[in-house]
Amino acid sequence: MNTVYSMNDVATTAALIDVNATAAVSLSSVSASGLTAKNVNVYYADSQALHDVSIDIYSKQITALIGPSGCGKSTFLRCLNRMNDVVDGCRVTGSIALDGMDIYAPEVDVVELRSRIGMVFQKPNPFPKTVFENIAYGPKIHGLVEHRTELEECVVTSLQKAGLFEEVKDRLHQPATGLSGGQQQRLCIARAIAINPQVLLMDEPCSALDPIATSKIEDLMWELKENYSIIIVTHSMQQAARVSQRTGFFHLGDLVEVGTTENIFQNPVESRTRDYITGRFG
Amino acid sequence: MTLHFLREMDRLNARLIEMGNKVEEQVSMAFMAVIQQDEAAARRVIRGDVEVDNEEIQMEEECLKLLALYQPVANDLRLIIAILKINTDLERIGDHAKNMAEAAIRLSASTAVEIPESMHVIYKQAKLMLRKTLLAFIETDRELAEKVLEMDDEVDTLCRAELPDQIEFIKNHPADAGQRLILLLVCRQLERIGDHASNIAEDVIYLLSGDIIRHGENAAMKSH
Repeated sequence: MNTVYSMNDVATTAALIDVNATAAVSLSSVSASGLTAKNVNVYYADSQALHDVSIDIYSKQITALIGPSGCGKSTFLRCLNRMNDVVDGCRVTGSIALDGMDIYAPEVDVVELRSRIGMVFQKPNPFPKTVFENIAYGPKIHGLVEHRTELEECVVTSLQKAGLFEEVKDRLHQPATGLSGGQQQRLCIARAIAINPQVLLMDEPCSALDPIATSKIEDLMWELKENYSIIIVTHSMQQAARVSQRTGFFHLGDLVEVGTTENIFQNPVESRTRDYITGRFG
Repeated sequence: MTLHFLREMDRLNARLIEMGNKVEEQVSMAFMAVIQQDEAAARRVIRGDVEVDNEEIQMEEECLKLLALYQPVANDLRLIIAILKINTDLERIGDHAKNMAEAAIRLSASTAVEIPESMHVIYKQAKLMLRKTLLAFIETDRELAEKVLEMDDEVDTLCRAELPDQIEFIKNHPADAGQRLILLLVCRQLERIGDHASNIAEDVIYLLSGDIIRHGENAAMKSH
């Protein structure tokens, strides 16, 4: 299948606000097949940003996407939960399937899709609300919880999973914007997992954080991968090597090479990959 | 980082080649000292081994510094790991040269002894292995490294054959038993030099391909 989709007409208002909070309720059963992209091309008006990208995202593993600035890794990441829908003139061809379902099929509810494929951004973006309300918002508006106690349980569990509960348990009802950068980012991760997504997309989640906060996020990713498939775009090759099980290298819109992180960083097949990871260019 | 790192790597590479040449020279000098039972030459080898030992430590420190500062990956990582390991093998070869020099000193204290032709052959083979393995590293030549591995079996066979010959000689000339045991010790050093040359050849193959071929085909450890 090689469908052409026009993004201008499918842009949703939901995409304009935090996608983690725009959760739909019905979650399909998690399949081992996970997320698969085949021959994905992305165009911004006449300019082609991605060329025939094909990759299988393995379930319950961390996949790192690396490459120099402008190589297309973030563009590809944004294709995976249709964030590019809101970009004027953006056109995506090829197919991206989640558990065999084409995510660009006309009948797909983008809001529901984004509840299954959550996203964490480069810069922490908590709502200007309390810590509790930040987490509670998604499950509440999508009816994932019925009672107050259930909601409280969901908030606590999500914060615990994000390794943040102990640090914020005494200020759950204070503004989230008062937290440190690292805490805010973990809050955003907690907010993303509160609606139980299948896949977590992370677009340079540590680039605004200090090494200690970065280390906490990386530890958290290791724990989260037991339950979620994670795709991280990172400029730090050391981070990719530390946290991921698989790595894909993008260059000039091509997915040059994808393989186990061990092989990519020890013995890459492609000379472009080798030259990039050894710092010869980029 | 790249330019500075590449310069450091080039320097490290050059130092390893220089160390290889020094060790080769030590082996040649040590065997010549054995042939000529030349105590003065043997003492020069023993003094030279101190330089090799110091260089080994400095090289190791340099490798560890580069690993800590630059966290290299892929071929850069393999190069540093290979250098670290080759460095250790070269130092061990230096020790074997020193052991031969000590044997030469002991031989020089007694009546002159003629070195059997078979030991000259073993020496030439071991020396050739060392030369070729260093060349394989310098030229990044996998084929040459594989040839060195094949040569090791020949050296081992030659050394094994030396033992019954020397035992036979000792039976017939018991007064020369001491000298002959020293020659067997020299033979053992040459055999070990061949083993270390093989280790270096394996490191060259790892450097070029990422394949760990140590312990033969049955080894569970393969890099991919």
